[in-house]
Amino acid sequence: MARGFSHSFVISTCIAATLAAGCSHTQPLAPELVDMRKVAEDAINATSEEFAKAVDAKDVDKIVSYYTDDAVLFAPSGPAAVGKDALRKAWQGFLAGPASKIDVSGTVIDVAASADLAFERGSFTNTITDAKGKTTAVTGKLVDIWKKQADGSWKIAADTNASDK
Amino acid sequence: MPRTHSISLPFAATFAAVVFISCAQPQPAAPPDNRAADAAAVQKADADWSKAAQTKQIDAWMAFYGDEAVLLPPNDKMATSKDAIRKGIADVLALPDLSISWQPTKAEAARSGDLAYTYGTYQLAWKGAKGKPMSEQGKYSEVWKKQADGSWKCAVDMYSPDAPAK
Repeated sequence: MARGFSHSFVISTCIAATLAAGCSHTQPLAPELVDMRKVAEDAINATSEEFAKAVDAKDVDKIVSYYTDDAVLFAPSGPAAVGKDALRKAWQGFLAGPASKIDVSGTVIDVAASADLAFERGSFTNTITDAKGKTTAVTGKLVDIWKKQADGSWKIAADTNASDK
Repeated sequence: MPRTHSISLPFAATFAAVVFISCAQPQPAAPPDNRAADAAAVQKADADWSKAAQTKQIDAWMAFYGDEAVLLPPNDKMATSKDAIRKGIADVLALPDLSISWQPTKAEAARSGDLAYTYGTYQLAWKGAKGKPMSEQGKYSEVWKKQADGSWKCAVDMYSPDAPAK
């Protein structure tokens, strides 16, 4: 039964080839990791935009929902706010103050290879309008530490900023 | 040759199984989870940095920054080159009778061991105009990156006072 050999050999070769082909899709690890970081960067960017909208809407509940439970907020010329209750108070105080519009620019996001931790840094301009309608622009820079959560969302673990003058 | 059939089928099955198993295994085994050790290493590096700062030697301070570090100080622009950072730090170290220290209160590392952060509190004291004692307390955040030699260097360094110095 010479055919027996060749038949099964062909089958085994076919199976192996098919599996190997299936394998080779996932074999090169590096591009996959790069993609994970890109996916994370896009997710952080999108979350940042949602966060900015919540600030514009003065929605404190929504704002604090973007922070981890033990997050810290380091604002210029104010003591550190540690934990959600302190963060809420800090944001309530900020939103109760003069009308302000925060614009962030020059953002750089750097994601760990494991895509579970990242930081974002950039510059901001806070345009403050007083009761008489006079505007003042305060510029500064920010560093945010982002952490991926169990549900796949990204939250801020540290929101730190300093003014330029 | 009836034997060929019975030999080659197991051969085919085994071959396929070997290829399949090597495929199904989750890539190269996941690297060990060194997050706690990495966080401890970064926290120690940060504490060592505070000690180095107390020598008030600019080179000792600068040694903790990575090549692409940025400094984000209060009341000044972001410094994105080593020269600019050096100048910013030199200004701090030039304060008369300076005493400076900081304490990392938190350190956390990524699963991949390439990125970490610390934050904490700092204290500055110096002699101001006419010898007036000045002091400032504040908070800082730092991003750290693991280097090729396994050491950790600071990539982002930001601090701001709790209140204006007095």
